[in-house]
Amino acid sequence: MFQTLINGLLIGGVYALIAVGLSMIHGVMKIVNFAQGDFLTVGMYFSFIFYTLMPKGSLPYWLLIPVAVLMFIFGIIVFRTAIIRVIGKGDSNYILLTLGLSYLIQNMLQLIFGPNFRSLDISNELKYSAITMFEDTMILSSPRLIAFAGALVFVTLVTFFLNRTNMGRAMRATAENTTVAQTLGINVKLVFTIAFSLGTVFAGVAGLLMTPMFLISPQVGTTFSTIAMCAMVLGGLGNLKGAMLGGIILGLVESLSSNYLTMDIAPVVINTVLMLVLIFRPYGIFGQGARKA
Amino acid sequence: MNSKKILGCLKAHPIALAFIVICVLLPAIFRAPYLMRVFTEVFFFAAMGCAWNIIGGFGKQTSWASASFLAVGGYTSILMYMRLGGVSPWITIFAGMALSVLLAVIIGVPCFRFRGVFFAIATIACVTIVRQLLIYFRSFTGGTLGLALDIRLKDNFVDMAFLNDEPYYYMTLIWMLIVVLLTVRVERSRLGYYLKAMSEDQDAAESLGIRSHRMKLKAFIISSVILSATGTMYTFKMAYTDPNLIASFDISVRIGITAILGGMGTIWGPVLGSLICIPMLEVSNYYLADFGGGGAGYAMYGLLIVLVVLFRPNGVISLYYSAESRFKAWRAAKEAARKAMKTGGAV
Repeated sequence: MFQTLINGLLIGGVYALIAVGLSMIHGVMKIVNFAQGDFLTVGMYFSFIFYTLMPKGSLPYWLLIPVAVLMFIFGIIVFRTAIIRVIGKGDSNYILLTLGLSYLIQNMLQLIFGPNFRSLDISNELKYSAITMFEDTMILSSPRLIAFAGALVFVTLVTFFLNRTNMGRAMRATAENTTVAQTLGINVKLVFTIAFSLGTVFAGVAGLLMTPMFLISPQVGTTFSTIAMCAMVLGGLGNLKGAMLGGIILGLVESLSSNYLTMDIAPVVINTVLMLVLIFRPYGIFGQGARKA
Repeated sequence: MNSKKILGCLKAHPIALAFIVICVLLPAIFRAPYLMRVFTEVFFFAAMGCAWNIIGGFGKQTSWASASFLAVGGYTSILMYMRLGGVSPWITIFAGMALSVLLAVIIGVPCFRFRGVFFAIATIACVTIVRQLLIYFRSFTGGTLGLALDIRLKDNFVDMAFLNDEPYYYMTLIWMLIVVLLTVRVERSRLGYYLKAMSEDQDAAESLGIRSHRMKLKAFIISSVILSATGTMYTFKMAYTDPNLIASFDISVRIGITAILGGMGTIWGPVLGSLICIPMLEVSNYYLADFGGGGAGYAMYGLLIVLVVLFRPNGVISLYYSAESRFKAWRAAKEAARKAMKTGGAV
């Protein structure tokens, strides 16, 4: 029981990281990025490429900075070439565009790396290292623990960024009302670009943190896409803390349902939770304020 | 709509008429089974795209639950065929339709409370639930392994099983044309006008007394019934079904994209979209299968979607419309010039 909860909590942290990125993009430019899971896959492949260049048996977490920088650049490119053209043009446009991007990214990755599953060649010491607690009744697997901690650190950093820096304040102002923000002299285009790229960085970092525990394949992102979307809706749109808690709750729900029911039924439970929340708490579990749905 | 009206319609659209004639004559001209199989797939996706178009195009409700209805049709018929001793799919197709009405109400009633992207997310949740349930009840549905029919060696109409490709070709062609006619009917009915009004501005439409929830549900049910019937035919054509083939979110997306690529909210848009997508995928799968790690076809597909959304948001068919209007303007200008010549320039 405890073990299940802990596993759920730890994986929930990573879901939270993806969901926070998604929620940030939605909060600022009112776009739900259906390709978020594929950005995560891109992050995983970046980590994979870099890791083959590193000396054997080194820690993959040193890759944090190169992966984050590359994802930031990737985000800027995607945003400037495609996404910027559909902002404010209606829901079906961006849904389709991001779905198209998702197809494109998945299959480009397959084209380059092939459809096979790959994994980082990390040392077994890291892979199987764990902290046992309470006289071996509870095992904290180190990669999971690190992923959870990394996710927490990133979310804290972004909260700090949003509340304490000028760019963050500009971002919140844009999220509140784009037109007014523009009249006040905020460079909305720049804000959008940075928000989107930060969203991609979050997905990429989540990808990096997951590589020690998950196999890498071009299609791996789709599951995370759905889960992140659920977490975002659960927490209330544009609500970063909500998205974070939503991710953790979904991690717990998934872990509990796959442990006590079966693996196949876990997505059913998650999506049922999502439907129930949408019906009964349309502002999200923690949300207050207005939403247009 | 009587036959005279249909003929009148076709006269007004010579390209549509030419397309139908070519499709009818195609198997007689080229005796190529592969070509026929590709076109059967084209007609299937065209029919599904038209069905999606009723709710997604006219009503602008981007539903991603289409695959669930395909699955209902497919699984109902295949299960009744296997478990009840070979009930003809021509009978069970109606059972599938009835069940899909039920599912459409179950999905539609909660989902149509949401607007825009929330509706999309809710339908994604629904399609995932249906797919996972099909996997979960594996003793009944065969799980991820799917169900295979042993009708491959039969050749009769009652079992919807043919040895040649021609019967399937004509069956799907006729079905696609029926679905196109149905969408014409829906578009010109009261429901069609209501849907268009709601897609422009739901609040305004509601203030004029349109019960939007009910109208959307009606369109959703029509769309789901068509999808379910298509699902039955698709399953019996394949003689096989599994949750990934017929019930996945991926298939829903491909159905929606077929319609949107061609031009959503237009009659021939989904057909055009299917005519572009399916052959493109087939050709690239044939020639580019060994290129890199594979997946070149779908990468091109994704690129095509991105390009269409960015540069032709009204679909490929808008190219035809703009060309048509330019042609008309050119003809009108020529006419005016001729008249001016006749009257000696004194206009």
